[in-house]
Amino acid sequence: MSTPSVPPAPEAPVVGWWRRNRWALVTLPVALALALVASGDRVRTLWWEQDLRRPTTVAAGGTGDFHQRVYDGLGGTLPIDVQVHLDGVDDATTLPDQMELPDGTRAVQVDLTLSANPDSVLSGCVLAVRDATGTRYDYVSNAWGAFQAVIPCVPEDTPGPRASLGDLDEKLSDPETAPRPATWSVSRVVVVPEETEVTEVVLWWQKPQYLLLEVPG
Amino acid sequence: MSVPDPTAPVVPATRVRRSRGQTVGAAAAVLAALAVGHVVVSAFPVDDRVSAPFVRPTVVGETVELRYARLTAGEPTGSTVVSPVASSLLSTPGVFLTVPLTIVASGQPRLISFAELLGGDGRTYTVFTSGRSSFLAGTAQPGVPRYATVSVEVPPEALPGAHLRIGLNQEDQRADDLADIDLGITQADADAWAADDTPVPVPPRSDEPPEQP
Repeated sequence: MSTPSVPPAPEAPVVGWWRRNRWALVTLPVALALALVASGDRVRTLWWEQDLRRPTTVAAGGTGDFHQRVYDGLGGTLPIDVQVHLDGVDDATTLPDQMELPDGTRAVQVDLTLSANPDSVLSGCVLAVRDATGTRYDYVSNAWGAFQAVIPCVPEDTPGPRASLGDLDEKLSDPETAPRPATWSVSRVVVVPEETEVTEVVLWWQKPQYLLLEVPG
Repeated sequence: MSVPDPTAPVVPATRVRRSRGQTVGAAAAVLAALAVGHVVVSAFPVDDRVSAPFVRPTVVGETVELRYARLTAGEPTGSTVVSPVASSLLSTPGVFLTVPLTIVASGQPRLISFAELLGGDGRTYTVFTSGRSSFLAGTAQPGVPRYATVSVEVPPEALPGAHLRIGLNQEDQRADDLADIDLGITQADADAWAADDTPVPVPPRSDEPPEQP
């Protein structure tokens, strides 16, 4: 500050602190908001995207329309565009081959009918059921002695395309595999504690979005 | 002592001229505030306490409630030879300590993966799965008891008074529940195990209770 020292003109008005700093005061809330946003970038990756938070709820008997763009692991995204109908949740009448239930558990069979474009990638889905308290029980493909489908939401013999692995795609693709039908049904077995009452079926590709299918009461 | 600035006649008196003494005084005040702030922050060592895990103490045979599971430790046993599922016998100049655990996950499937032994000698013995010690409980379905065994290789002098700590996240136990199990091991146990070469089995994780010997 090299303002020359001149005696004040007697008629100059005395300006208050608030008026002198008005622009700083106006920018202060903006700066605070920016500081919070800038320091909160991990809230999304380390918290928001770590759990199921954005349901697409489907009432009992209804068909859910689910859309999401999921990260493909190569810096891009893939569209998930699928219609899902919950056909039923019941005690499994036949267990998957070689499954032995631990004491105090029962097997619940989840029947779903799905529709999607046969060219769309649907691998990477996770299926689970929840009870009234919100406790989640996951579908596990390799457990309790049984091997069930690895991808619970597509037909085992015609799973459709998988996410691109770049140059490997040509070597990995099997021209013999029939395309996935436009509409198909799957039936998966989830092991839950004996006393569990399943009230919801949940299906997701990438958190935080998920499809919540209510079980008819 | 704000003095209007006459050098800005168009926008009158938006700047204030301060004396040199005032400027130096203000700078000193800012520095003093920073120094006081540093003293306040460093005088109370709260960083460790803010991020510390919530330690839930328990003893062998007593179930402890954690945020993510109910956990019960069985009787510890030890020997100089251990018989893991996936490899041949391992022997040690120290002792292989094994502790059977029963884990009942709550809320959602849980992968309980952290274990460490706080030895009675004041040292911490990590249980890392690539070494000779092991703890692989896998992901447990809520409400379905999971049986898994911790095996840790330690010198005999670490055994009396040792505590086993079990947590959810192998990488990060901060600000989460952490079970602290007093294993109740005596010097006599340690001596007996250090002199024993009967292989101690480490059964694989299972949802079926292990057979009682």
